[in-house]
Amino acid sequence: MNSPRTRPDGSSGPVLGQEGRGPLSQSLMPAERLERRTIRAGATLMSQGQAGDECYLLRTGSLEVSIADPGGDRRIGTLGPGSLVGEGALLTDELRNATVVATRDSEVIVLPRAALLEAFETDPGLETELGTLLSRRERPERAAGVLVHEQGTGGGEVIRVLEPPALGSYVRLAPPGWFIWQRLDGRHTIKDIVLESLDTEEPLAPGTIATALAELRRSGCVKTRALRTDVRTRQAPLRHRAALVLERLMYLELTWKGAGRFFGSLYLHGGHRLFRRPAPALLLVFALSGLFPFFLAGSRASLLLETPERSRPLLLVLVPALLVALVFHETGHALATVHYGRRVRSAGVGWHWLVPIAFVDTTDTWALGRRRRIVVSLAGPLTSSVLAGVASWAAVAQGNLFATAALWQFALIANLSLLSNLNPLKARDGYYVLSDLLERPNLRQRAFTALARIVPGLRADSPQWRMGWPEVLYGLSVLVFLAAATVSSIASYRVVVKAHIDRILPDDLAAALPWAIGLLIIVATVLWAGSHLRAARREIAAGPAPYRPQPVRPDGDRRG
Amino acid sequence: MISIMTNQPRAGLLKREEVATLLDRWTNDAAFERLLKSDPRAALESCGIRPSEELVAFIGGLDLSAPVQELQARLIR
Repeated sequence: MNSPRTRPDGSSGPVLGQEGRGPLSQSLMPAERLERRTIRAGATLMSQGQAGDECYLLRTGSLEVSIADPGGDRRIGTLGPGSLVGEGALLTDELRNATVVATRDSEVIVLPRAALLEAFETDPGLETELGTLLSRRERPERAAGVLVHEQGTGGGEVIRVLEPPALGSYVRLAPPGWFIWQRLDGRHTIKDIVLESLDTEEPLAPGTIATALAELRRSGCVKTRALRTDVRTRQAPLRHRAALVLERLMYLELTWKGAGRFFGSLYLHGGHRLFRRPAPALLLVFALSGLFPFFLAGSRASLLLETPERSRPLLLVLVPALLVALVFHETGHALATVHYGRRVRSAGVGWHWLVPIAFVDTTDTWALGRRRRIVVSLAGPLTSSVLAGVASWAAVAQGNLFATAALWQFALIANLSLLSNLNPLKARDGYYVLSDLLERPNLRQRAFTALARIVPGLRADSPQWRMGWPEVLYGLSVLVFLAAATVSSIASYRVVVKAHIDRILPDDLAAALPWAIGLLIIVATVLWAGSHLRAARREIAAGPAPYRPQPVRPDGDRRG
Repeated sequence: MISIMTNQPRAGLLKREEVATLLDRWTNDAAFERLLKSDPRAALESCGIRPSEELVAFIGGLDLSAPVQELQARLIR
């Protein structure tokens, strides 16, 4: 057991040379060539409002930190040996935000800017630690223009959703989060918020507030301090950059920023009629009625499809049919979003693992209640099923066998796309419906975090694990689905594709190719699942992401 | 940390001044949080607090999950 290290003056701070000190003091203390300065009791080390080009590491003695508030000076803490002070103004363009006075004779090591930057180079952990200190000492302030949406939950609790200015992320606040948000006025530190929360029924831990602030900063809802332009930002290691390039190639998306205006105009010029009663109900009935002609036309279409020579031209119809189905599907989502008064941020096309995709960004629907969000998610599948119905009815009405087969093939694609989209185990419409039904936003991310918690080496008995069984169940289901999808993909290649490849390639190569593709799918799946679990484990182990001031770009835009 | 650092019935384990001392230490020493997680007793004792078993157990089982959740982009495909 360690002996208590009470200081007579009640000051705090890591004690040099003993356990509990971090990489900060370890990196900076060996710098014997740095200037040491003695501060007599009562003397001021630095004053609020001054510019600062150096910070100080307290070696011996005690320092009192206070800030000038409209109501008078306010003491915010006392620092003991090992504490760093004055680093905020050193790294940012801001003036000193507090006054520091020695409460007894003290000695500090003076760290000019160059010494600190040099220490960053030799010790990567130092930058993280300084970021942590900055975030704990600052008085965070809400960003201008953040809108607050109130939403009720099934349990009678009021949830607030913050709509950030520009295109930042939406943020969901539980009641304690709202308590924190109301105190982000540029005057409260984390310590102040904790002390105020002690008088409530639900006192907050400082770590909880730090995590909340990290989320709010990332979303753009809280002002972020600007890093001085001469502080170099560290470049990611080569393997990380290579992985990023590979990921961008596998997940290519071409985004159309003007989609919001287009869909707004489409809604005004006729799209709104689809949402007038009884149009939605009629569309649903029509979509369901399409199943009958779909099966009827299927038996006729098979006459042509079973003859490879005659069915080959149908392949030419396949790609355009897929694109049309995708565009209609996304238009359904977009019009529903506009109908509820929200904007479509963007739309686009691309591929995921070489499979073509289309998307609309309906992030703005976070401002809606969950029922409306579910309607937006279901509008795409409903559009696909109406499209399938139209094609199916047209197929049975056709006398021409080729036209029947082509239309039936189109209906088949629309129906398969519908089923695929409703599968909640894929990050598609069904997933959003499920996560909204369960009132569990970011369900996939939470599921992998929950799974990572029960991987050996992490605490399986943590409160988060006990509370997160739906997430664990969902995460396990996703992994089982991935395994099944991988096996069925390999089987499909062997049964369907190999017959075609046999005609083009030599026998040995044709036999080996499906296995090679299968192996590729397995490796990709394992890497995908592994990377998600690793990311979740890193997040759990590291806690909230350390605060990093953003470098200012020449155009003044700080968003990454 | 904190439902025990109050004047509520469950409290009495920590005085308000002790909470302030812990907060000062947490604010100025990034390593303190790691120590608090790995060895709550040593962390509390390093601040001059003699902790009870209940306090140590409570600190060790803290749930620091945030009441704030960044909502991911809804890119509907």
